[in-house]
Amino acid sequence: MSAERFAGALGISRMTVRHGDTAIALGSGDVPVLGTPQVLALAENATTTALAEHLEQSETTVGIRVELEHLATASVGDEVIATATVTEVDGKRIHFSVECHSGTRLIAKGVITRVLVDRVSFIAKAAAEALTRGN
Amino acid sequence: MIHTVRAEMVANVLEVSVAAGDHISIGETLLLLESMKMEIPVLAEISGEVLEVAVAVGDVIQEGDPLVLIDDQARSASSHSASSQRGSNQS
Repeated sequence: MSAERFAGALGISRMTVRHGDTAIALGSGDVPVLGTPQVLALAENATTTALAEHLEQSETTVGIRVELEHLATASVGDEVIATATVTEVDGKRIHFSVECHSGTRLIAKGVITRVLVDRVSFIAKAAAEALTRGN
Repeated sequence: MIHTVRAEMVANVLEVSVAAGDHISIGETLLLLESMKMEIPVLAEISGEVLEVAVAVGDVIQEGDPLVLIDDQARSASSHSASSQRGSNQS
């Protein structure tokens, strides 16, 4: 289950900012501009897009590390496009460089790391842990 | 002596306020950058002549990128060529 096959993969994801994507709606701030959690969600979506065509059915990836600079604002109605490029594959860890643009403006940039897992085992382990905790 | 004003952070270039050949004074705005969701003016810390503006409106600059080259025309100047000053907070 080597992750080497992902080297150089590129993913793109886009969104149009809606009121529900604003910091005030998300609870991450009190201003009506694109909130950082939604910026991160878009960037993470681009990372999954990059990997989608390379994954076996039994595989998936989960995010384990994020470093994001949210540099500029985007308003309701603006289109934001995220790009994610695999920069390094380290065992089962896949490192991405991500950028979000609105037009020519750089809205955010950062690095995201995902790890390759077996889908069934991962979900089963999470469910078993939840049961152990009494959830 | 030629001074290079460099970017202190990743940013978008919103405005370029000077052009090659302009004579500038200490405190004059060279550029207006956008980073950390704020507009950040880059101010001259020396007087002199602008030799080159290395960026244009719409450029995305990285930390350390050269922005403006200034010839201080042998005037005495501080060791710093420019500084960034936080401007109006947009959000």
